[in-house]
Amino acid sequence: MTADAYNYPVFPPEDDVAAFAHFMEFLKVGQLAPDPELMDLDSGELLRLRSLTRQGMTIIEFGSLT
Amino acid sequence: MDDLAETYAERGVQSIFLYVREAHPGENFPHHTSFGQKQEQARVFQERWHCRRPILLDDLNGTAHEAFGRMPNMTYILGNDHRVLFRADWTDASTVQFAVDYLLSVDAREEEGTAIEPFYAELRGFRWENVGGFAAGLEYNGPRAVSEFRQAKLRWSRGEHLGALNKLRGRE
Repeated sequence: MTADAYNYPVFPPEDDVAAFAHFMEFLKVGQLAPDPELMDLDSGELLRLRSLTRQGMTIIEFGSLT
Repeated sequence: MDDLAETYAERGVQSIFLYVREAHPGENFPHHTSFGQKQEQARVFQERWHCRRPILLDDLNGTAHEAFGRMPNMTYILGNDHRVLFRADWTDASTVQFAVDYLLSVDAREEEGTAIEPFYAELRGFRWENVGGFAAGLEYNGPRAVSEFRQAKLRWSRGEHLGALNKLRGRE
C-alpha cells in the first residue's frame, strides 16, 4: 500500500471494512509474527521487533495520537 | 497500559507502544504526509498521554501495521520465540492483564510438575468503552474529526460500511 493510500485524510477509511473482516482469520496465536523494522522515537535508532522479543514476553499496543 | 507495563516489567514482561497512522485525522493533527511529521505527532502523543512505555515508529507506508492486521488500536503479546501468544483487535488493559497473568502462570504450573502442552484457544473480549475520553480526543484533534466520526456512526447505524460487519461480529 502506498503512503498516500495508507494515511487516509478523511475518516473512515474504506479499507476499514477489509481490515476488520480480515483480522479474525489473520495471524493466529501460535504463528510466527512478522519482524518489521521500527524506529525508537527517543533514540532515533532502527531496530527489528525480533531483537526485543528475544529478550522476553512482549506486549505491543498499536495506536496513534488521534 | 503504562501502569500495567510497569507492574509486569518486574516479572520480565516488556511493553512497547507502536505508533501507526492517525485514526481520526483533524485540523490539529492531520494524516501523515512525511515521516518527520509522524515523528512530531508521536512526540505530541508521548507528552499528551504521558506515555512511559518505549514508543516505536512504523514507517510511513504502514508496513508493520499492515503485517499485524491494520486495526487502529490492537494489542499483541509475543513470546520470546516471536510467536503470537495473545492478540486482540482492540486494547483493553484488564483483558491484557488477564492474558499476561495466565501466560506467566504456565511457568509456575510447570515448576509444580504439571505436564504442559500448548493448544489453540480463543476468547471473546469485553472492553471498557471510554466514551468521554474518546469524545475529548476527537475534540482535541479538531472539529473535522468530531464531524467525520458522527457521520460515520450514522452510516454504521444504517448498516453501511462497518455496520453490517459489526452486527455479524456481535457488536450491535
